[in-house]
Amino acid sequence: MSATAAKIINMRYLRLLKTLIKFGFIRATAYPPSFFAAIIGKVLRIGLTLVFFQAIYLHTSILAGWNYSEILVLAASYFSIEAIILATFWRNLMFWLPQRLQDGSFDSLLTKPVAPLFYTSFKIIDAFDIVASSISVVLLWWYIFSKQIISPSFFEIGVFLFLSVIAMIFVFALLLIIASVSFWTITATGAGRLFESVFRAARFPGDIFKGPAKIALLYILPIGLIISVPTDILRGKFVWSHIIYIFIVTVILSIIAFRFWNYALRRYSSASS
Amino acid sequence: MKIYWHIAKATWQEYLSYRLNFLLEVIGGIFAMLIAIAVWYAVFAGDGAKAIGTFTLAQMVTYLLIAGVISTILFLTAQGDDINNDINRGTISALLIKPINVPFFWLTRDFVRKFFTLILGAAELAIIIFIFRDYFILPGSILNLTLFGLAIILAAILHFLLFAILSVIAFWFEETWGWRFVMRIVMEVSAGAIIPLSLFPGFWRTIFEILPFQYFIYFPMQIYFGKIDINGIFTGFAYVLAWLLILSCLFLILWKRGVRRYVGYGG
Repeated sequence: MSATAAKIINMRYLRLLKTLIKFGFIRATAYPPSFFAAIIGKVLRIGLTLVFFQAIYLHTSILAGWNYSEILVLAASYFSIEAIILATFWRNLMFWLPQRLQDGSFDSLLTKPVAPLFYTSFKIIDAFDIVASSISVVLLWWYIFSKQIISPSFFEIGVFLFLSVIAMIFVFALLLIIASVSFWTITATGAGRLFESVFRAARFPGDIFKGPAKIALLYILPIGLIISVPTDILRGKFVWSHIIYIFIVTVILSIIAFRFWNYALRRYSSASS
Repeated sequence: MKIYWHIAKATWQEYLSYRLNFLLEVIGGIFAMLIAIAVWYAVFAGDGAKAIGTFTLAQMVTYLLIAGVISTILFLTAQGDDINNDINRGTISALLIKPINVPFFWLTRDFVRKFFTLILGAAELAIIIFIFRDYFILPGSILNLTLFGLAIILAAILHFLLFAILSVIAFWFEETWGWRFVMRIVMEVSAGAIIPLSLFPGFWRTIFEILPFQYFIYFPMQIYFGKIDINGIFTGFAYVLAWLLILSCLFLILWKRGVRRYVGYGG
């Protein structure tokens, strides 16, 4: 494929994404009272997590080597990455895909002149998360920088952003594997809820986990590292072994996820009559 | 009452077909409980503290284990969806013409769901409690255990009423997800599921003590550990009953007015 053709296709997908975001807002604001309540809920969720940490640090000065200010940075990183994930592919893969497979509407999605994976992953953009999380996350980062809790260099910010993207790809690959299973099981929403709980482990420093939990969450499925490691960069700590490990795991997981998705798609034989 | 027994059995059968989904959600709840335990282990290890507030490590682990069990039963997602969907999608029309009390029908289904979740999670929770057996503290006395059980049953009714109220407003607002989401968020923290309310900073503790959510977890756990005297227990139960009375009245007012303005389109 020539560079120009690739550019045109990429532009088409960007335009499509823009339209999907617009539709997301139209859908979410169809019920204004519920929309604004949900925004309050999302802001409260972040606020109450901070209250939770405040309560913890009322009784200890340090949590697995992290002080309260550093935990705020970890929380800001977590909520920033989570906001993008929640607003885009999370629910599309975990909840809407199984539903489409169940009611047969996935078939019509396959007839569209767009890559099925793109459409499946981004069809419904969650405007609640875009609005609510942006407000909370921006306020949180503003507080962190205004209080000079951290003062990273441009290079460190660059590495942080790069690792944040890696974290998102890691989560995307994991969710894609779980979602692909729904081609056989149809219902994967329970798996989605389970993964939601597992992902929340990333809100805490990886070092709080000991014994088997440490092996499971830091090495087998490094959920405990994907947010801690980028945040470490902002604290001026480069743990190269962790950075390289996350990178390799994400690459391997992505290859498995894409192959599994393609395999599942090939075997799909429609659920509708 | 016989008809509700049949509704309960039918609901049980319905949920059985989604057992894997429910089970995975239950495991998610258990996982969240283990994370909370890991956090508190780290807190105790951090400063080498013997006790935090009035909680020793063993009490904290016991608290989080039982709080995890209660959360697993009560705090499933999609709370209130049944009622909201029945009103929104018009399936309530079929319910209204049946010789049943519709709110009691919803209550029956809600309790079956809670019981079903408990049964599904029982084995996993028993294993987790066995693993932490060295830290697990038994209740102060049989009386404490009985009152604890009673508090949980009342909490389950209170929980149903709160979500039922926010769901029947679908008669006016069509979509109620946002309101229920707000309550779920506040409830999870202010019930004391991941941290006992007494360990929150003063300002937040005062706010959480005004809300009814403390009766889901914090109050029953206070009874379990014998951390409140008999006067405190009676006062607590009096508050729960008062909340139940107020919320029942509010629900009935909304329900009656809602049904009056309800219009079922379509065939």
